[in-house]
Amino acid sequence: MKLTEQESRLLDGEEGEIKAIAMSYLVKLGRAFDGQEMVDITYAHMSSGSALREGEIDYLEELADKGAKVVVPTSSEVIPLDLLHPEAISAPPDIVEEHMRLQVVQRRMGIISTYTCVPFTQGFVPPAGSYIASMETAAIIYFNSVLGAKTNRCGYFVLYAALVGKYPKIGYLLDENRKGTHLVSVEAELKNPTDYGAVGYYVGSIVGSGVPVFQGIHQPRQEDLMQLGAALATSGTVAMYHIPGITPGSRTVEEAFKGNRSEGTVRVTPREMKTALGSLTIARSPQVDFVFLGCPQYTVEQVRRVADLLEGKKISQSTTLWVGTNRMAFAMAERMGYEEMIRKAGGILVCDTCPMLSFLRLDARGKRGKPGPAFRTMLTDSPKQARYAHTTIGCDTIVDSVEKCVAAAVKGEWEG
Amino acid sequence: MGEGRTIRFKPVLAGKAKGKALVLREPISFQGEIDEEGKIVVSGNPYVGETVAGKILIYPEAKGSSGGCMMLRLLAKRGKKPAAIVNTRNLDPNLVEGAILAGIPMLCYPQADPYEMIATGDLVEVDGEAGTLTKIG
Repeated sequence: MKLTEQESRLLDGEEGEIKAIAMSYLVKLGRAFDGQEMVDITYAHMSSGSALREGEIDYLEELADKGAKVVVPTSSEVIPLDLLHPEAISAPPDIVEEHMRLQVVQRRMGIISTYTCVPFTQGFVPPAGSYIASMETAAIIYFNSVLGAKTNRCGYFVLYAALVGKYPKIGYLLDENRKGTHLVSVEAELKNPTDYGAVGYYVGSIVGSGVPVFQGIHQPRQEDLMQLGAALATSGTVAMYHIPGITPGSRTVEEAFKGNRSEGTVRVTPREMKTALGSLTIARSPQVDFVFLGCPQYTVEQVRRVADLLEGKKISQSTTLWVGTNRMAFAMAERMGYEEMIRKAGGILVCDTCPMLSFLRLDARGKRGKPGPAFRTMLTDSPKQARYAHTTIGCDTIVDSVEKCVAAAVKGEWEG
Repeated sequence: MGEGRTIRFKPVLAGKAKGKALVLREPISFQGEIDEEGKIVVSGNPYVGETVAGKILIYPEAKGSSGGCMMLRLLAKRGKKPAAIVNTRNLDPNLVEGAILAGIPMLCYPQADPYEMIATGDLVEVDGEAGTLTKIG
């Protein structure tokens, strides 16, 4: 790997121990992927560090004590609780305390405590063509496909990238890996984000780590593409897709493939969509005790929609409703009165967190002497959440549209 | 080391490891499908309940949420990490990051089909520098 003079200086420790470690990890990563050079990044979205995983917050404090500071704008990922309203969701006090520490150390390091999986809804909108480093598969695929910024499927190393402002030029930072691999023909009317999730969940399972090129998707909304991407990256490792004419990577199908041959056409009809959602509907009874909306975190418009659907209604006594969003949308929802509408109906508007990563996880409960699942059956509008909640929370799952989810929360039962 | 008992790979991360093979034919995610003790928990997997700790984990490629990187780091801290990771189809950066932090040797892109030669429970050896996977017993 060819390093610039500045990069060699960083690696040799001339700008301090922290930057030298960060560079050495990034160079190892680059070499593993035959990277030829490093690039400057303009933005980073990093893992927050979770109290549920031993030593992560301690590690950040160690780094901060040694003077570690990020050198590019840096947002941070979802945490295991709503740190602004922990009592609303009965978060365990020890987790609250640890994350108060996290907030302090992030501030010291220059990291913004967004606690979100969708930073692009909160002002972090890197320009098309720019190099960035992002973790969170639902964000990665959106940055690459919808915004046209270039990120790899990063993990913890975003931290090191943010500390030096560099990343090896590998994977999805290289244009040859951003070309289409599979043509996907959508032969169904997609009516809501969950329909897009169904398409994504089916296509991801077929194309694996490929780059699907969609035909037959018309005028998708931001929320539709958030759900499409999250699902593609759940059943597969998809980090990039094209909707020619819509996403910035291509104007036509030919341009999306850029000389690649399609590895086969994937047809998606209502049948495949039904099968995809059906495979996530693993429930012994239609009674639902937990309805979760907001994976990926809802935009303020989606929060408004739920408030609207709940107007004049009450959530069933036997059901808990969480509507997941981020701090910025939460503040807006408070101002617009949506938070109050949801609260008065018996639901909870939640920020910062998401069930599959929260203290509801079986492992977190087990450690606190509460073994077994907190809920029996989760109903959600997100294939991603259902897929992971089934194993991490240990509950039955059902996936359906937001309208059906709200109706079920009111009745305490899913109508199918 | 007899003829035909060693398969060459692209070396990914240096290091040597010896252990029992755990061979999965489908992609797996280190977040949600393997728990914090290294046990496979995804329903439907033929090895559900088995641990990856100390194993030479052989499978096609990573999948799923990028939190998997941090899970490898945690497994290493707890002494429950796989001894080596051998991917046969594709190399996922997120998984490599986790393996760098966890100090796990890694191989990818075999020159012959390891699924034909190696079964779960076989004793195998990985050399991450030389890029070899060898069946010893």
